[in-house]
Amino acid sequence: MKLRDYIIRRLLLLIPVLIGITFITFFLTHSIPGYDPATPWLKEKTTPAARELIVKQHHLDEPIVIQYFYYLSDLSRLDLGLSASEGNRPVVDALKDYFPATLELTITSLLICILLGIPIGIISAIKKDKWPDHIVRLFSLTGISIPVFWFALILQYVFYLKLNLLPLGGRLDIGQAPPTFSLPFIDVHSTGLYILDSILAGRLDILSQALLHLVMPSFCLAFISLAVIARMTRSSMLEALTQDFIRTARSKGLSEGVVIFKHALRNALIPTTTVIGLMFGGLLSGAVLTETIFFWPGIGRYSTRAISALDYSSIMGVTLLVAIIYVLTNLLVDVLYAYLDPRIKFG
Amino acid sequence: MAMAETVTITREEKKGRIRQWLEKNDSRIKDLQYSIRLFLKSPMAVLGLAIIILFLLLAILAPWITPYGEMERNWYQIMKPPSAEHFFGTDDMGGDVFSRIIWGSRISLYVGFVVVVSAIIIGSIIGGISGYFGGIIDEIMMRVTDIFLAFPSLILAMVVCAALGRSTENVMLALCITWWPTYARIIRGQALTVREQKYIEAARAVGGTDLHIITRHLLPNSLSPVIVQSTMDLGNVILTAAALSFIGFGAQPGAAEWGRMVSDGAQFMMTSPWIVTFTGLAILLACLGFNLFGDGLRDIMDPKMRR
Repeated sequence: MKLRDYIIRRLLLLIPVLIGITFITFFLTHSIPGYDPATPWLKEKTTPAARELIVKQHHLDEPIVIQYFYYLSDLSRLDLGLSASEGNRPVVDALKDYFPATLELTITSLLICILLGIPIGIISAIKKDKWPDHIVRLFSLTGISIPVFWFALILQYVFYLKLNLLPLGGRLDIGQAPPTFSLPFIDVHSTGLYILDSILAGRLDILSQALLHLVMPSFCLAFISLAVIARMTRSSMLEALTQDFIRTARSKGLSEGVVIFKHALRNALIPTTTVIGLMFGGLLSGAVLTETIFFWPGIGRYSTRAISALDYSSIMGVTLLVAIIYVLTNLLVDVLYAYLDPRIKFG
Repeated sequence: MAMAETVTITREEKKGRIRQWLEKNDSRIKDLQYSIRLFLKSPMAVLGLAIIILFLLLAILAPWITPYGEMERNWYQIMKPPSAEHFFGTDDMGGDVFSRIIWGSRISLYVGFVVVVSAIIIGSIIGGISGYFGGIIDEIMMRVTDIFLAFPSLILAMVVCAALGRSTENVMLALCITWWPTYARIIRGQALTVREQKYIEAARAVGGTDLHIITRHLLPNSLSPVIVQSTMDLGNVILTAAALSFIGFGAQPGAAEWGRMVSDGAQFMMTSPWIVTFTGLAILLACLGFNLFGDGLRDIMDPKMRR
């Protein structure tokens, strides 16, 4: 199968998955007791007659299956409804506001994972069954066993309450306006990614502030995945080191450094790449806890608030966005995998 | 007299049967002995098992070993630091943190076992059928599994808890819904390779029904990856259940449940950090036990490591 056909096939397969996801969330959220679906449109002075009109207008009196089809048709026009927990503004606007914060957090975490996880994994593989390997193993298993919410509280206690080195939470100091920039020819003044924005605006003071605020949440989020990447790199390095071409390389008289970094690592990184890709979806999901504890204004915190407020258009919006990103990264990873390892066939 | 004779005969027979059974399963027993030897050689896996046994004992013996009751409060002993009377200090209601952690281990281990066992059962049914029959059934079932895998699991669990009401039972239900797809995937993968084996063909040739082949041949041979996965998942489920309680979707305020205790204690972090610290350490230790043990098992069951 050609690459193009493969991608098209995979994209088509996404449609039933996404419809399934909307189906499940729709029926789950609509079975939440004690929620009036007309809430986003109601005002203090809405009379019962006016309420009737609203209910009619938004098809809220129809059977739930019919309502689901109305939802799908709105969805095809990228209309995700109004968010009751966000002052009744459109869900799409709320997502646009909150998503960059989550993106900035997850990308930073991912970078931490890669920059620390891969070297740790390599050391572990080279020193297999010696004490560095045991330490790394214990460290990685601790990483996947640690309760993130607890770890976050401990970090806050040590670095904010006791040492006062890092800010407690949020993206910038209280009262600091987000950075904006102006570029010639482009009518965009902010991306919502504060690091990028402050660099473009040339505001180093805001940049350092944004970076300081990122330290605790991103480390907290990275810690679990860091362990997974280290383990993956270790096992694929060990696998690569037993291959025939490594013996050939060694018998050619190449130095151990060249053998490890040029021959083994390049092959070992292929499975690690895929794990990193898959991790992105997991990080987005893991951001729910981290964002809630560090007051990070991203989609994770938004979803917790939405669920608590029984605001179901927002819940569905967030779920759908995260699921789409998850399946698209999966697809990207599979394509990348085949590109990196030409032995893989599409099918 | 006649009675005694029959007894001796059956004893002889029994011995003979046992010997027969031992001979028949010789390779399996040798294999098990070898596995145990490998296991005992790995200090981390042994440590993991020790931690698991410790927590199981604590949970079972809680009523006899805890110095204070589950909901026992002492209003004269509020937020006291660790001491000889209260090893881990007391909380904002005068509850003994040490005792409450031990009581909490009951809920957490119970949730962990129930969720993992249910997930294995659902996953085995779906994965087994999917892998064994293949074709259109496989395609449909795997698409359904994909849907559940693509779901942000924590958000789905939160929504289920919000829809059904916030309680530990609903946390278990929510986690079952999010946990089974992994097992369905593993068992399907195993089923795909196992069903091509000669002994399956042989079983079919002697007239074995599909149900018989699935339950007697396919599932037992898919066991080892499931055991490894489920051991590590026990830790994972305990973590996630605690996380759900922490953000307020599980046990109610004041309950002796680990996640809830951390979240109740979080507001007193400044004045009495021991509440959060010790409770979190207990969660960490329990999960670490399962992960160490599961990791050790994986090494033992991996044929490459056996060389």
